[in-house]
Amino acid sequence: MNKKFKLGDYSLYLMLLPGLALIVIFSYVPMAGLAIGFQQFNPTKGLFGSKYIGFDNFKYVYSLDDTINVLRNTVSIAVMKMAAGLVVPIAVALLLNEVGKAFFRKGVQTLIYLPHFLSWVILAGILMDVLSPSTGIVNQFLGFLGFKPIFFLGTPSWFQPVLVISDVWKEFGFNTIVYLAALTGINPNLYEAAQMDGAGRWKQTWYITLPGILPIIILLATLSLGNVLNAGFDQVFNMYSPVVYSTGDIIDTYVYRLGMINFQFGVATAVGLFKSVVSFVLISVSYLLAYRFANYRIF
Amino acid sequence: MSKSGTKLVLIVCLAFMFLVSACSQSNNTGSSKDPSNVSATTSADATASGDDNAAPDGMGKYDPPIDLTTFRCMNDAETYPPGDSIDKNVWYRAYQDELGINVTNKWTVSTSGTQCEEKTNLSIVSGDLPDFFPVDTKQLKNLVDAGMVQDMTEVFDKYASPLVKEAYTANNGVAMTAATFEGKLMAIPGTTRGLNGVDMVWIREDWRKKLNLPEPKTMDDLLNIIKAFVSQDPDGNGKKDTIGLTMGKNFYDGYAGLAGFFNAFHAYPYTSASTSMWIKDNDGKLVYGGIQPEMKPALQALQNLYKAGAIDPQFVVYDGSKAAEAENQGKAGVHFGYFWNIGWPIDGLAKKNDPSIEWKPYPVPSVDGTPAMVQVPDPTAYWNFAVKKGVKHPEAIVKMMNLFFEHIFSDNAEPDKYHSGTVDGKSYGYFDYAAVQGEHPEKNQIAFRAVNEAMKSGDTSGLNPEQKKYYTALKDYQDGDLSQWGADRTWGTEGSFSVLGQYKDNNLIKVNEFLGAPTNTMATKGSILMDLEAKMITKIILGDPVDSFDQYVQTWKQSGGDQITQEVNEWYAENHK
Repeated sequence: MNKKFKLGDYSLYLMLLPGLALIVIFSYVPMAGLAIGFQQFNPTKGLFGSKYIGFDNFKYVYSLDDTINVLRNTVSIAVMKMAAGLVVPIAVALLLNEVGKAFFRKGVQTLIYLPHFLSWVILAGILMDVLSPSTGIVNQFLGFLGFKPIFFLGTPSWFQPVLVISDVWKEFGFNTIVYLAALTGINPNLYEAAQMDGAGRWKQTWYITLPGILPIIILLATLSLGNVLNAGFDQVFNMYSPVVYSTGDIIDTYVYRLGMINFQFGVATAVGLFKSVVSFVLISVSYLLAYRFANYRIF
Repeated sequence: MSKSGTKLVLIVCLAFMFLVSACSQSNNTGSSKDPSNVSATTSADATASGDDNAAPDGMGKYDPPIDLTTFRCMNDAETYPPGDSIDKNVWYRAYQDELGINVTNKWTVSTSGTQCEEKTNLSIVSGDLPDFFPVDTKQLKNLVDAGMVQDMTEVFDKYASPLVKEAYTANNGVAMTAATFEGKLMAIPGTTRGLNGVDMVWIREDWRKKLNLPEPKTMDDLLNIIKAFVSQDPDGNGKKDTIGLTMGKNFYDGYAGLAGFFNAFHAYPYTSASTSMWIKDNDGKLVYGGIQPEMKPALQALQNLYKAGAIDPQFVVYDGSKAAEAENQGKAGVHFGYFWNIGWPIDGLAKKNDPSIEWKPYPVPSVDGTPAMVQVPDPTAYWNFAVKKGVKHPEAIVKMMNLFFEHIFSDNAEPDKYHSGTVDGKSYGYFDYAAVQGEHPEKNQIAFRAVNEAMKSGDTSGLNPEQKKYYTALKDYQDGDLSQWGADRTWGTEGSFSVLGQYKDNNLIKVNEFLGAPTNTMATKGSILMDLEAKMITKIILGDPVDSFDQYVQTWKQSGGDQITQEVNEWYAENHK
């Protein structure tokens, strides 16, 4: 009996093996390629033939005039997206939760989730038309209200808000669903008890609903912190232009123009490594913070 | 995390690929049993001894037959006659029967997307190369740096047929220059881009006539036309809803770019990430066209047009296809572009749907008395046929090129058998099956002249089948078939090739003086300079003072431009001894 049980154990471990092998092969072994970041990499010479140049790739990127500006844009766009991406879904989830009719709730849920499936290539084309200063529906509406047309995609001061709003519009449906799921997990007895004590809707939300979904909020917030250097390549790349480089150029697009067009793999890898290190640090810190202050462990 | 994670994984995966391939590569070269190493010595002997002193025969047959491997990149839409394939077709049989060469394809991929480039790169980094294969200039430079390809200088000299040599020396031999490294021809150039990639002005001729405007003989005429197309309601709908000059954000595109506009002011800017337009200054040194003082009046003129409302502000975010929308909706009537703009974005069937529409291409006018020259930044070959180092019969590739010209362009050509033909009501382009292809860079220009000659004389006997096709289309258009309007605008007397012909006859084409592979600083700094220029041009058009151009020139020089200029001049000195 005992022996048999152990055998079963082994077979379980065995079943784990293919998955582990995949992770090792595709996630750990390739990390050796990070060496490219320290090389003057030439594809025909390969990883061992290329010249080792230490931190020159990092120094080179750092020495460029635009780097500071690009870094600032990246952080500012990413932080705005993270904040809005956290607040909006919670608000929408709370509001939807108050809606009694299941039909309406499901309908809205599906509708707001839909844009998530569109690619930025398509959306950028649509946004160009919608936001056009001459024929766009947004500016026609503004004109109706007596405002002058605004060239949203060609004005540096407007570009970041447009990025943030369009990104939130595209993605908030997904997180809303996550929060809605968390909301259903709250024990209804709590609400009944609160009502008995004379708590109104607002008090119920503040003292029961929000604490109830706090772990999920912390989880999603922590995970999103790792994105502080990811301002969304797809989106920016399809919507920006030289006029809005001053506010719209982010690390990924900059490195794309800098490195990938000319096969400067070394520079691109160096920046990729830098971004990963920053993300790793931020996630570790937020993990510790979440544990200390909310007593919540993700892992 | 997820996004940066995936990107990192991608990068490292790629890196790993190189790592693996690097290993296999070093194994290859390390092993003495490798057949390519053995043949390396024999081939050196063979070329040195000059093939038993016999006069080299450019079409001589190998007996016993030899085997050669290659790989192919084919269009998805390619079709083959019943029983044939890319591995077994009229050309591969001809190689066998006439030259005694058995050609085998190691693999064939589609040309769509980057499949071909990626697969070729993979073959290069893994060292798993066939005997000969098509590569672009960038790939060729990598191969040459790594010492993986055969020097073809002598072989080409000895074996290339007069017809082939004539095609390659046309246009000052630009095709050869780009495949030449330190004076040595490192690959056989294939079909070249030639001098057809130049700007002309496309104008809505019916609008121009309606508004009684003169033909654009000078730049002032053209600027007036552009402004009038905005202010004088050319489409006659009573609304001010038209655009003057169609523009996109990519200033050097073959449609809705600005190269022609600058050329009108004798300014020659062109920059892509890896190369630029280099011209000679008064001292014979090469300088970048985009930082010369001639740029300023052109920028001023563009800014004036923008202020006059003749340019849609949205050009800053539009790419070519987005910019084309206004034109296709009948809201715009002037753009700078290439000869193929009739076809795209102008629909060759547009006139059939609305007979009142008329587009006409004009040569770029000049701002002063000196005729404007149009620029060609890259006249080199689309691809080059590289030969693996150590191949026993490198001359076989030259022979195959000879055979291609012999069967398609020579007096004994059999175009029906080798170029294109119809089997059971389906037409096939046989020429594309050939493993080694090239053409005379002026083929289309020659066809234009032949067709127009025939139109005048009515004698079609001198036309080859391809030219005959154009001739029939033109005749049909003359007889009132409006669906052939596109052919008329291309091959007709007012067509785009007539404009190209005028450029060529009057020597109005300025070819890039730098034709080499990207220099080191170009590779590292090129995209920064490209950014600088795009920002400068866009901002000045939108209203920045034109004098900010001087500031840009300073920054350009300091940000690597001076270094690139030096490298380019070194290249020039090296290649023009």
